[in-house]
Amino acid sequence: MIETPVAEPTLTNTDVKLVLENVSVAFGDRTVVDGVDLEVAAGEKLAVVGPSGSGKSTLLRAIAGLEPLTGGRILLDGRDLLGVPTHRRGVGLMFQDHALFPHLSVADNIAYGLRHGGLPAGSDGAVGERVDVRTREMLSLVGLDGFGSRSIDQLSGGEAQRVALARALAPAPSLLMLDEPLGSLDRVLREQLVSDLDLLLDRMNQTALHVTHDQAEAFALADRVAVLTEGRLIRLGTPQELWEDPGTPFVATFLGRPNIWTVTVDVDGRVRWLEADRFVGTVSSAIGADTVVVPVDAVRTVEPTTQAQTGDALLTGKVTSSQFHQGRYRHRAVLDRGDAEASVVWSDGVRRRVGDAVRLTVDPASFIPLAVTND
Amino acid sequence: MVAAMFIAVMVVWPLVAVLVRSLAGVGPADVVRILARSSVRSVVGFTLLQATLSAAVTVVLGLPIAHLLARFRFRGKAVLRAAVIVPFVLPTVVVAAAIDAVFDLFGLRPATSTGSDVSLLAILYAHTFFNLAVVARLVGGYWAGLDHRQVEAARVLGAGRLDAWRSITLRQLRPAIIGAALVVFLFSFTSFGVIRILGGLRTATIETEIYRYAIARGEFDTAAVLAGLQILVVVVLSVLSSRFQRRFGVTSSRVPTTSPVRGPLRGYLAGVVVLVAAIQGFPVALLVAGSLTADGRFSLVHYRALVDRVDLLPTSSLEALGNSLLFALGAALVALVVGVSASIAVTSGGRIGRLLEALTFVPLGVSAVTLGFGYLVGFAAFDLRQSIWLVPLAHAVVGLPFVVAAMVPTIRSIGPRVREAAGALGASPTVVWRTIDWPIARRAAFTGAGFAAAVSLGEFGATSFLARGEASFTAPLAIFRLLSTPGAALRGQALALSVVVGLLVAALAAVLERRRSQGVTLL
Repeated sequence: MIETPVAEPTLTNTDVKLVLENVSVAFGDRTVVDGVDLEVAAGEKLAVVGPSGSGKSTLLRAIAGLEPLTGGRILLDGRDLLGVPTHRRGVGLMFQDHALFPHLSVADNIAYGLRHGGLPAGSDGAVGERVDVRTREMLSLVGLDGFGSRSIDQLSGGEAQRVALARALAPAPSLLMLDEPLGSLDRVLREQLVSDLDLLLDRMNQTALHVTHDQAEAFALADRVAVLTEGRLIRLGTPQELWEDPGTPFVATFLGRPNIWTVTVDVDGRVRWLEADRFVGTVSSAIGADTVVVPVDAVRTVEPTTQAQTGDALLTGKVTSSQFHQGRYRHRAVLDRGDAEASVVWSDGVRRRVGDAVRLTVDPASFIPLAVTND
Repeated sequence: MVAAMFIAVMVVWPLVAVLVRSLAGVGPADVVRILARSSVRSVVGFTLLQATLSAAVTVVLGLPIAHLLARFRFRGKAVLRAAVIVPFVLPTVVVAAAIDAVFDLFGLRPATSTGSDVSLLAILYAHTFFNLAVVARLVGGYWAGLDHRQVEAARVLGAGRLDAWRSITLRQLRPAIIGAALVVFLFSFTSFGVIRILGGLRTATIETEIYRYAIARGEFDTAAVLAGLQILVVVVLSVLSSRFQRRFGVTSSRVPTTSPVRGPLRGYLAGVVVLVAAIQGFPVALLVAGSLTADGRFSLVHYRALVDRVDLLPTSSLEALGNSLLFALGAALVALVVGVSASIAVTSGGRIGRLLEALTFVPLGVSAVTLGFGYLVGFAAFDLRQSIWLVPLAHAVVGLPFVVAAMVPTIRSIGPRVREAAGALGASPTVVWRTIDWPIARRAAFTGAGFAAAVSLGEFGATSFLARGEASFTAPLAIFRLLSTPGAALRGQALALSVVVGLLVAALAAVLERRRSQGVTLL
C-alpha cells in the first residue's frame, strides 16, 4: 500500500488548522512580531506579505518553534504548541534559498525527514523500503524522477527549489510553510514555478502558509493574503478584496497601486486635490475619506484637438515616463506647477514622449477611500 | 629564476640527498636491518603513540573552542581568539620551558627526567598548547561557514536536537575535524624541540633519533634511514590531509551568523575560558613567574645573568640573542626576495608554477631536522656547514612558505580584468606587475617576511644541526642547553631568556596579525 499524498478525508475545508492568538516575538528589546491573530483553515493557502524586516519570516520560525514566543499562543490541529519542540510539531518549512544538505544526495535529502522524523502513517512494509518508495513518490510528484542519486551542487535553481519542496512535503506535514520559496529565481522560472506550486498544493489539499515580499506571488498562490508591517497584521482578505479595498495607503502602495491622493470635498460635492489647488470633479455622495486611490483606468486623457467642455475638470501636465507593457503604455505625468507629489499614472494605447503635454480627467465616482492610519 | 634555483638547492637537493643516502647508499638489506632493531622499533612506536594522542587530545579539547568562536558573540571574543592563536607562533623551546615550569610545580622536571611517563604527559601538554590554534582555526573557520539553517531544516523535518547535531553539523564538520587531526598529527610527528627538551634523557622520537644518530653518534646511515622514513610518512600524511581539505568545498557562502551567549551557555563559555587558561595561560604565567623568582622571592637576577658568560654556553645568552636577531633579519630578507620571485612564478601559472608552489610548502611539512640533516649530507663535499651562512639560509627556507602563502592569494585576488584594463591602457606585463600587482601584494609580502623573521627567532631543529661555534649560537640553543642541565640558576636563566624571546616573537606576531591582509594566515 502506497499512501497517496492527499489530505485526511475526515477533514473538510472549514476545519481550522492553525490558530495564532496574540502571538508576539521579541529579540531583546525589539518586538519583531506584535500581537498577531490569525486563523488558517484546513486546505487553505494563506500568504503573508510585507516589506523586508516586517517580521514575516520570524512569524514562520515561531510557528516552527525556532523562535520562542514572548506572548500569545499557537494551536495546530487544536493542540497548543507551547513547549512542543520543533521536531515534534509536524510542520514542514521550506527555507529561503532552500538550505538543502550539501553532504547528502537528492534522495537522502528528501528521505531525511522520513528517517529522522518518521514515516507518514498508513504504509506497510520494511522501514527502509517504505522510505525508498515514499522518496521516489515525492521525486515524481515534483517532476524529478531519476534525480535521486544526484548531488545537490548539480542542481539548477529551479530543481533545487523542487527538491526543497519534496523534502518538506515527504513527511506529510500537517502545515507546510514556505519562506520566500521563489526568492532567488529569475522571473520566467518564478512564473512557471508559481503555477506548478499552486497546482500541486491544490491537488494535495495541503494547508500552506507562504511568506513573500512579492505581492504578485502572493496573489497568484494564496486563497487569502495577510499584510504584515512592523510585526503587526494590518490587513487580511482574499486577493480581490485587498486589491479593491486596500484599506490603508501603506497596503495600497505595497500592492503596487499608484495614484494615492489626499483630497478635500466641499458641501457641493466638489473634489479638490493638492491642498485644494486642483479641482478634479464632482461627486454626488460623500467619499468618506480624505485619502483615496484613483484607479489607473479612472484617469483619461483629453486630446488637444477636442474642445474642452465647460465644467470639465482638466489636469494639465507633462509626461515624465512612458513604458510599454503588455500592449499598452503606462504613463506618468507631473502636473504643471506641481511638485513631485502631483503625479498621475494612467494607461492607454497611445505612445507618448517624455515632455509631451497632456490633459487629463478623472472620475471621482471610482475613487477608493482609504483610512489614514498612523503608519 | 631566483626562486627556482634557491628551492632546487635549498629544498630539493638536501631531501634528495637524504633519500639517496637512505636507499642507495645504505642498501635495502641494511634498511631492513636498521628498521628491525628493537630500539628503532620502539622509537617509531612512541612517535606514533605521542602523535596520535596529541591529535586526539587537541581535537577533543579544541572542538568546544572552535564551536564558541564560530557560533557565538561575546565580550572579549577577540582576546580569547588571540589567546588561542598566539601560542602557535611561540618558539618550541619557549613552550617547552613553560610546560617544564608547570611540572616543576609538582617537583617534576621533564627536561632532566629519566622517566618516560612524565615526559609523555609533558609532551602531550605542549603539543596541545601549540595546536589548539590549528583546531580553532581549521574547524572553527569551517564551522562558521556552515549554514545554521540546515540544522533548523533538520529539526523541522523531525530530527531531535542531538540527532540533528550528529547527522548535520558533525557530519559536515567531519572533513574539517579529520583534516585538523591530520595536521596536528603531522606537527606532533615532526616535533623536535618539544621532545628534545621535555623528553628528557630517555624519551625519543624518530625526529630526535635522527639528531642523535647524526650528531652524537655520527651514524649517518641509521639517521638517513630514519629521515627517509620520516619523509615517507610526511608525504603520505600531507597528501591525505590536502585531500580532506579539498573536501571542505561543501561550505556555504552565506554570511556567518553568531548568536549571543545567554543562560546556561554562560557556564559553557566560562568552562572554555578556564580550559584555555589552564592549557595556554597557566604555563605562560608560570614561565614569567619562574623567571622573576629566585630562592622563593621576587628577583631580577635571572635577567641580569643573561649578560654573563656561563661555562655551559659558548657565548652569553645576550650574545646568543644578538645572533638570533641578526639571523632573523637575514632570513627575512632572503625569504622576501625568494618569496616574491616564487610568487611571481606561482601566480603566472603553468606546470612549473604549480610545481614551485608545492615545493615551497615542503619545508612546512618536512621537518626542519630532516632539512638540517639534508644539508649535512648534501653539502658534505663543500664543507659549507662550517659557514655560518647556512643557518640564516636554512631559516629562510623555513620562513619562505609564509611569504608565498601571504602573497599568492593576494595576487590571485586581483581579477584578470584589472590587468587586462591596465594592458589595454598601454602597460607592458612588467609595468602591470610594477604598478598593479606589487603595490597590492607588497603589504602581504612584508607581513610574510615578518612571520619568517618570527619563525627564525624560534627555529631550533635545523639550527641544532648547522650551528657551529659561538658565531652561530642562537637563543633557542641557549635555552635548550640551560634547561636540560640540572641546576636552579641555569633553569632560571633559561626561563628569563624564554620570556625575552617569547615576548619578541609574540610582539612581532601581534603587530603582523593586526596589519595582516586578507588571506594571510599563520597556518
